Amino acid sequence: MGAIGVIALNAFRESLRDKILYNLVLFAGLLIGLSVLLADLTITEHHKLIADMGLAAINFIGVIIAIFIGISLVNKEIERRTIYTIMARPISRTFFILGKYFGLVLTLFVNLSIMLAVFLVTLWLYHIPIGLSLLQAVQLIFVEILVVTAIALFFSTFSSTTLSAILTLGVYVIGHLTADVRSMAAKGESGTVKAVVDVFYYLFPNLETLNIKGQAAVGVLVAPEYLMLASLYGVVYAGVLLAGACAVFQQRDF
Amino acid sequence: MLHPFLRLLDNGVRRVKFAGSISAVKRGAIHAFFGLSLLAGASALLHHLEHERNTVARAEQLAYLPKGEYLRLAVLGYRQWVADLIWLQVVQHIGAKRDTQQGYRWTYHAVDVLTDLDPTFVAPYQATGIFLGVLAGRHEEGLAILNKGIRHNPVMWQLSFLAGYISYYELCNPVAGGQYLRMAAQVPGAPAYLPKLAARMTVEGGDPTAAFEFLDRFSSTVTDERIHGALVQRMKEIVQEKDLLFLEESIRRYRARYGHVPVKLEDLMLHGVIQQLPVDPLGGQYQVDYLTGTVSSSSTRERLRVHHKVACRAGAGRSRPPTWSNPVDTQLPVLQ
Repeated sequence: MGAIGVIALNAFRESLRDKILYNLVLFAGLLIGLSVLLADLTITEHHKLIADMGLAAINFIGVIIAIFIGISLVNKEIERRTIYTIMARPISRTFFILGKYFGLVLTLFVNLSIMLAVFLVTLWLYHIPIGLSLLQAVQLIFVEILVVTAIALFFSTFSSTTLSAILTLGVYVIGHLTADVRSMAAKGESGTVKAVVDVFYYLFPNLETLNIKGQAAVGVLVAPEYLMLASLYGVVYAGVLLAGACAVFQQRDF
Repeated sequence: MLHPFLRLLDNGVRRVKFAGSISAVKRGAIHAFFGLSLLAGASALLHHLEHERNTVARAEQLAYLPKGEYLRLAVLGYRQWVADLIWLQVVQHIGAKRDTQQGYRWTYHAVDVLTDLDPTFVAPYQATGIFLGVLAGRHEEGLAILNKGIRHNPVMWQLSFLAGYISYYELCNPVAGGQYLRMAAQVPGAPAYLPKLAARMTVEGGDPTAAFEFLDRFSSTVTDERIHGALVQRMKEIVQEKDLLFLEESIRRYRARYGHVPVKLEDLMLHGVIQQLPVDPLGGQYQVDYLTGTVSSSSTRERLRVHHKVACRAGAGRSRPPTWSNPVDTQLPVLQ
């Protein structure tokens, strides 16, 4: 196993020791379970309501875990001074960052799998048809989580834990608004505003392209090409952030 | 100076703190006791607050929702989730059955907002269309919500169908009703009877028999028991209205023949004006007003609303006589 693999495995083990992880996954389970109770209160379309709430819970908890564990991965090593023992070994800083990232991605994959299993069991128990569209939505949720994790890791390489959390949340919010802001700016007459908004549109991640929860809940499939391209966009964007994180971490003094 | 209770509490805490004789179990029990007492107090306060807060106050929450175009930005990628939660609030408000005109307005606003968040959520269009457009008498708002639903969900023929009913019977506009029904008929998978019903609607504006058929067909497509129940109730009201109009028409004939209004409805039967007295589907008794010749039912007090709507057929300039003038022509399905 290469250096990245060893660091990733260690990061995975370390995050498994984090109690907040279990609390959040439990909370997601409760949210999914609660959706069944809430669905009884609605008029028709119970299936949609359960699917909506299940997907939203998976997405929300996944993002929260990605942010709050992602920002602490590197900072924890620095605060505990364990970073010195790692840096003293013949391990490049790039491998360290990539190892940490893949370790967290593995953690998130396991969490997402648990939440998905709870969600699917809930659907199965209530005889709700499990369509491929739901799995497509979860796939893109995972890609969104990959991007958010990369954002959190990027900020954590040069700022404190609190600031990283604030900045990551900020980019997450912007990522969901860029498309709307761009369409609003397109209605205006100012060419400068349009140009500035366009720059921001391509600079920040467009997380709305990874959001197909609405149509998935009503069983509408997206085209495989879209699914592939959207996933590719997320992975490429996460790659850009990781490259940035590696570059910043390379320059950092401890 | 400390309140006697606080002094007691303070002494108790000191004793717990300093007296080494009290075991950890006892300390835990004391903490649990205080914790539970406070929880009981909070619960009592909450219970009291719940009584203070009436249904209207709950409905008011719906009024404070920002416009959908702004809210959809604020809720990020969780539009459907938030739309579901608003919808659950609206359903509870509708279910409370203590509605006011303001409450109806807020309901419309909330559904407008939630359908901005999730335009493909069909249930709110359908249920609010029935609630506002048919049951609450707010036809324009019901129709507006349905039009929005049709715009975003053109494959849902039920929305055009319901809009057709509201236009035809509630708004006395058979031409618009026919247009909606033709729109519904063009949707792939729509029932085969729609074009025929559309044609009939255009000819027989305001006819309660056609309205009944409309609701009967529509209710068979509705799976939710509460909506189905509301539609059946409405169908019973329409049957009752048909009965009342039929009896009043019979009283006019009786009056023309004998020069006075019958003392009781059975006289119509005794003198051969009608063959049998209709039975009120809502479980009441039909009574005649000897002075005016109008007939009412002991089961309902809101006859005029329906009556005026039906009366609009007179302005439609139809050449055919109303179908209820001849009881043989108006064979309505039996209501369960």
